[in-house]
Amino acid sequence: MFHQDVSADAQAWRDRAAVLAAKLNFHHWLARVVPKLFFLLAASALAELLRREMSAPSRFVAAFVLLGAAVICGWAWLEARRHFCTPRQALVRLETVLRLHNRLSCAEDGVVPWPRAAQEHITDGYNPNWKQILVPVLAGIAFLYAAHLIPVYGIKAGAASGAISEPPDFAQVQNWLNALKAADLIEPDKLQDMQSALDKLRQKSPQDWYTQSSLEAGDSLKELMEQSMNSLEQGLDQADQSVQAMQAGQQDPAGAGSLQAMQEKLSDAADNLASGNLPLKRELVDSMKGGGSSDKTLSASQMADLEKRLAQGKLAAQTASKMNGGFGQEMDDAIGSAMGHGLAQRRSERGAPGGLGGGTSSAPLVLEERNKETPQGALTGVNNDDMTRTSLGETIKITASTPKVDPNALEAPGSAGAAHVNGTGGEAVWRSTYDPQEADVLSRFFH
Amino acid sequence: MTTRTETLPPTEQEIAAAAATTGRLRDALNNVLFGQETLVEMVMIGLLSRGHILLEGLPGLGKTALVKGLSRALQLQFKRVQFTPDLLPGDITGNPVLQEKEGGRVFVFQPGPLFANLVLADEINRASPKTQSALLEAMQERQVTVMGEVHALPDPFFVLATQNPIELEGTYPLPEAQLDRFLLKIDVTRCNVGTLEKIVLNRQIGVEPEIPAVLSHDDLTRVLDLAQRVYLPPVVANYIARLVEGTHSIAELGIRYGASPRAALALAAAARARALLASRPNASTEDVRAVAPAILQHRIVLDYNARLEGASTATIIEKLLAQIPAHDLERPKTLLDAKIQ
Repeated sequence: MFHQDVSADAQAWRDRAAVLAAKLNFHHWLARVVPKLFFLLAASALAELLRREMSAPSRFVAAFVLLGAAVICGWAWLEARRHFCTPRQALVRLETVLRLHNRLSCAEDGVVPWPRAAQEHITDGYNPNWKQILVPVLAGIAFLYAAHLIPVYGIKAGAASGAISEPPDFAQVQNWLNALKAADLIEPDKLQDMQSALDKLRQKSPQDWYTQSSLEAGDSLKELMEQSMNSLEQGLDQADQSVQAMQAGQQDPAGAGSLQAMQEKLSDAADNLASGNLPLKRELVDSMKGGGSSDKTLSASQMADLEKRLAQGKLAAQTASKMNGGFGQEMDDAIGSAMGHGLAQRRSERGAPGGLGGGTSSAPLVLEERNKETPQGALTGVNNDDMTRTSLGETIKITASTPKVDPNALEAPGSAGAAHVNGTGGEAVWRSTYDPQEADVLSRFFH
Repeated sequence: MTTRTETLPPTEQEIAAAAATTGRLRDALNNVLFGQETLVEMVMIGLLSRGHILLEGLPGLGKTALVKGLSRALQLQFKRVQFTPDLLPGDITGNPVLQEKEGGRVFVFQPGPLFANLVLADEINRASPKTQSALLEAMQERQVTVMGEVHALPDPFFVLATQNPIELEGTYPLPEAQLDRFLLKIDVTRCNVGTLEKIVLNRQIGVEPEIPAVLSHDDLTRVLDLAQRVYLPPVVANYIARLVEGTHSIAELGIRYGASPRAALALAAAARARALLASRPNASTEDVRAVAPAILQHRIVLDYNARLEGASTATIIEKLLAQIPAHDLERPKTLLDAKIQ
């Protein structure tokens, strides 16, 4: 046996083996830590998004990343430890890659002398694929950075709860009802019935507000209300005209007969107003019919009071029927929201004339600064199957089809010289007319 | 914990002397067979490993010429047996012959052709299984038993058998257990145009080449002993063990029956011999990889699917060598490609 050589060569080879072992062990650890680190960074990116939406302090995410990284490093080390190689094993790798015919192992066993260790750098076979290592880590860092940069705003209460705005018809009917209640013209029971019908629709689940049946019910209620309001307005107008005529007739002594006719006319109008979906209050109807007087005629003071009540009622009915404020206001709000809160507000505030010396308000159709908040909502697909407005030449639909060929359409070719060939039906058509793909299909069909 | 027999590894002087001796033998054999350096080296490895060799190749490729040349170069007693279906075991082992001796008649053993240092068993697969068994028993035990009497074969004793891969009609293919007795199975391939031209210019039919005696019997014995003393590092022994185990455990290779422990011993012996031929005092994993195809190819049996796919034992062994690294350490799978075998 050779004497164990502890010369500089031996030490140099052992050092190289130790370095190689350290490199390989580090890579074993890297191989296990990198995938985990990627998932940690991805999770941290989500945590960062959540933190920013909740406006929480950033130290929570930083602590999460640091703590998670520490745990992952330890976990990976525990996993990789059982695969770690010793310097002696690295020596085998070294002699294999250097094609030393196990000379180093034999030298370590003391069988042969150590080979001379060159001072210059030698290839130890450690050739890691850094791309595979770095890409997941960089991708994770990019996720985290993106989560830190992309715009995120606090969750709106309405958006978070998924609130659905009620159909505009509901608001309009409610406005009418409010106006009529304020005018104190209509029998409260009837108004309450209308209100109950509206409340019944409102009490449905918001998801059901826009179903076909709910929309139809709301529309019917609105139409009913609209017709009733028009009838009320016309009845009040008719009654008011009658009262005004009666006031004029009272001042004319010769017109007693016509006064009686007018009183009857007023009484008819009162009967009309007392019926219908929106009946006038009983006491107003009674006063229109003469009140407590025995001859069923109105005194001048009664007429003046009645005329005043009817004028107020008419004004209230007109105001209510013209009150499209619910729907219209919502539309304005929507437009204003979409266009930067500007236009809709200005529509209602367009008191100032604008222009030169026209006041302090801004000119119409000039938008405010763009809203930086990203509105949240659902994306709805729109499909239009109406082809009535399509123009000539416009592509409406593309479908796959195969050309229809009549194999009996052509009998060709005939004969030439002494040869006589009966052509196969349709062959000339697909051979000379169609493109190669179609011809191939037809060829396979006919053969 | 593995144990091993402590033997002194060869010294540098011994290795240098052996290198000179084996170099002369190599040159002599290369003068017999042109362009068959690999074949010559494998035959020398088998010789230094004290193993028997099965040569498989088409007729006329020089198998018999190589064996004859080897016997002349080594100054060994050489016998050739042409195996035929009607050959009997006694025809090769020898028969007792009734002789008159001292006024009486006694059976005297008449040694057969097996009693030689170098036996060429030509077309071994043409003999009946009974005769094959007699030969293979002699190969393993290095002795023959006739009428209860044991007769030792001369030392060294080498059998170089040949068989033809074609014309299999009327042959008796060697069973796997008997194939296992051969240390090496070497495929003899045809030579290229340049070598053929050299053969045409330097050889004539019916005239055998002049081959000098390059090794004496003592030289051969010394070299054979030296080959056994070549150091086999534990890492190489581990590699051999993993390689043989791989023939059993790696299912995707398509091996039905893997190599035996005898194959592991053969790998170790052949690796030692190759190291000695390369003037190295120790065997290496490279030596094992170099001799593995010749040692393993006749010791593994492919499964049905592998045979159906047309796989050969040579290709399967190539895959085996590619899958089993020289070291037993696991490499990081996902991230690093250390490019170390």
